[in-house]
Amino acid sequence: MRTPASLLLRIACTMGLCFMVGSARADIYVIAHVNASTEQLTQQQVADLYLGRTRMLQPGDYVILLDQGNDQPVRERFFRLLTNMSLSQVNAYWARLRFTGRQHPPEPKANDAKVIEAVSRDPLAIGYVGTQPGSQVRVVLHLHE
Amino acid sequence: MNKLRTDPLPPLRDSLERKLIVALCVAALLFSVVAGAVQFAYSYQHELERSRSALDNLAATVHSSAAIAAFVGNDAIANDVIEGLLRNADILAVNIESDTGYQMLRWKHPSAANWISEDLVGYQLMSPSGAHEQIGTLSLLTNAPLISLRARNAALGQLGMLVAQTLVIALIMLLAFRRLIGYPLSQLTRQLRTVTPGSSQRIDTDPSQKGTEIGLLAASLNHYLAASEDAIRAERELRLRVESMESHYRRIFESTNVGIMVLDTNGALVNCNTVLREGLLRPAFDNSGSADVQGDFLALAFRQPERAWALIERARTNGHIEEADLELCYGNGRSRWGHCLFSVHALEGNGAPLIECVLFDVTSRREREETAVRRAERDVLTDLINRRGAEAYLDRAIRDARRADLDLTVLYIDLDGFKNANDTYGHDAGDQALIEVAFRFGRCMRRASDLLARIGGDEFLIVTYDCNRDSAVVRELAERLIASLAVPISLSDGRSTVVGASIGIAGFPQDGADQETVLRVADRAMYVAKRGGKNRYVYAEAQHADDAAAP
Repeated sequence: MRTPASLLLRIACTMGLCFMVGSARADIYVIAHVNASTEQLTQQQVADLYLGRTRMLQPGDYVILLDQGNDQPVRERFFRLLTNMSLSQVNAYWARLRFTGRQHPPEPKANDAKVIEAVSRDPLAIGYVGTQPGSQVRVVLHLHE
Repeated sequence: MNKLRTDPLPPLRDSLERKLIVALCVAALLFSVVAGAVQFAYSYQHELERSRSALDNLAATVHSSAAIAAFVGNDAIANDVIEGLLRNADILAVNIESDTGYQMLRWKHPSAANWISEDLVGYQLMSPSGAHEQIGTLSLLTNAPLISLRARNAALGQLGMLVAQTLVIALIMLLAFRRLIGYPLSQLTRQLRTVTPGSSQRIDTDPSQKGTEIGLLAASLNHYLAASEDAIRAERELRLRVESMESHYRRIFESTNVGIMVLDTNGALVNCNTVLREGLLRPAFDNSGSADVQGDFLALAFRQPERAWALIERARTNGHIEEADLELCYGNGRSRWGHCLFSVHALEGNGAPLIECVLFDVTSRREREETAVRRAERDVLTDLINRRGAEAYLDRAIRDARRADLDLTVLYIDLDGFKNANDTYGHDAGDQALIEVAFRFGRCMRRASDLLARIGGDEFLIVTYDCNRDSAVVRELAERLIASLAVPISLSDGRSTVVGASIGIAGFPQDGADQETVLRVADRAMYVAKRGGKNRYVYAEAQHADDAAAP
């Protein structure tokens, strides 16, 4: 028999589940090749890389940055957690840098799977995904929501 | 009297308008100086702040680009930003540097001056990422002299505006004053000037002035003019009445033949009328007709001023009028007499009392009285002194002679044959003979001061003063008298008659100590002469006189 109390309980359980799932999905994982020279990166290092301030982690140690498509919700989340900038701010920022002709924004990939695939193939590549990746890549920074 | 005074207004040496101009100029000047100084300082500061604010805005505008340039060390963006900034005239140089060591410095002119720390404005460059951290500095070298010059120009412009406004307002106020106050006031004044006091003229004002202060002033003036017209008319009528009364009294005062004078308590003349000045008391005045007002006028006016003073003193003590006949000083031998009425009055308010004297000329009355006396002592026929007068004269003469220790001689004359002539030719002839005898005796007289009197029908008396009876003078006189009758007396009807003279001579003090005795002794001597054959003279002898007195 269905009582209002049991109904409420079920609604509450469903909402709690949803919240837990959402929270897990909001985290961002910055990943590198499993054989990359760096084990861990700071948030500052990642921000400097993705805002074009540096192109190498150590002198001579260039990295290849991978971005995600502008339509991917993960990109918005990534820049918000990393630099506290909105997507439009980030786009404007890069537009200005790109205008000078000397700097190029990171190369965009279609989705998390493409990013993971590219990173797993290139030891210099660094990217980010919205889901916990498998062991084929190394997580160098975990950005919590 | 009612002549219109149309003389032009005197030029205003110190007009309100001029004062207002001066006041306005001073106020405008002061205001311009004070407010101008404040305004200048404020404008200058404001302009500086505005420049600074503009600079701040400029820096804010380029901040994100500059921050990106510094953040990523992008020369192209930095250059872009700096070029943009250098287009601004206020900026001489721009420096962008980052914490990571990136720097770009550009000058507007290669030959620009050194950095001056005061003119250097620095702005923090914040990270383009959301983190609030400084990643560099944007430094601007401002063109301080230019900014200052511009600020000064702006401030001067404001100042000029202020001064111009002040002047315009002052001018407007001045014009308004002239239109609203100065002109109506001067119109009012001009009108008031043509108004004759006491006339029915009034001041007209513009109807637009009704209800204003000018209108009120005009109304008040008209009210005053009306009041003064009434007052002046009343005054004029009163004055006419007073004048007519005064001329009336003045006429009485001047035209009466009564002398009136007012003296102060020292006897100095205060006022008198023409009767006194030109008549009764003329000698008391000098040639110009004025009296010595300081001196005692009574001493000049009266022969016996002490009598006048006594009367005044009595009048003062009893408060009544005191009167008496007083002899006036009239110089030329004639005596004039005034009947004087003295009274003393205390004036109201003025403490010192005044003496009033009313003076009638009673000279003619006195003269009449004296004439009457003289007539009583004179013989009508011969105009010689009669017996009564002779006795009075002899009384006085003896008194004087006794006092002066002098002699005098009496000749008692009785005509011989007069009764006969009178009876023969009638009374008229007798009278003629008497007149002729008197005339002849008069020619025999030694001097005018000696007395020749007719003391009876055919009796004459001669008194010679200061002359001894035994002197040759008396003898010669007696002989001359007898000789004068030697020639017959011609009568009016052509006939003539002859009379003689028997003379008795007596002397004072030898023959008598008084008039009666001397006369009686002389009379006795005359009878002796008659008995002795007439037409002769006989000296009295004392014993005869005593004998004569005895029976």
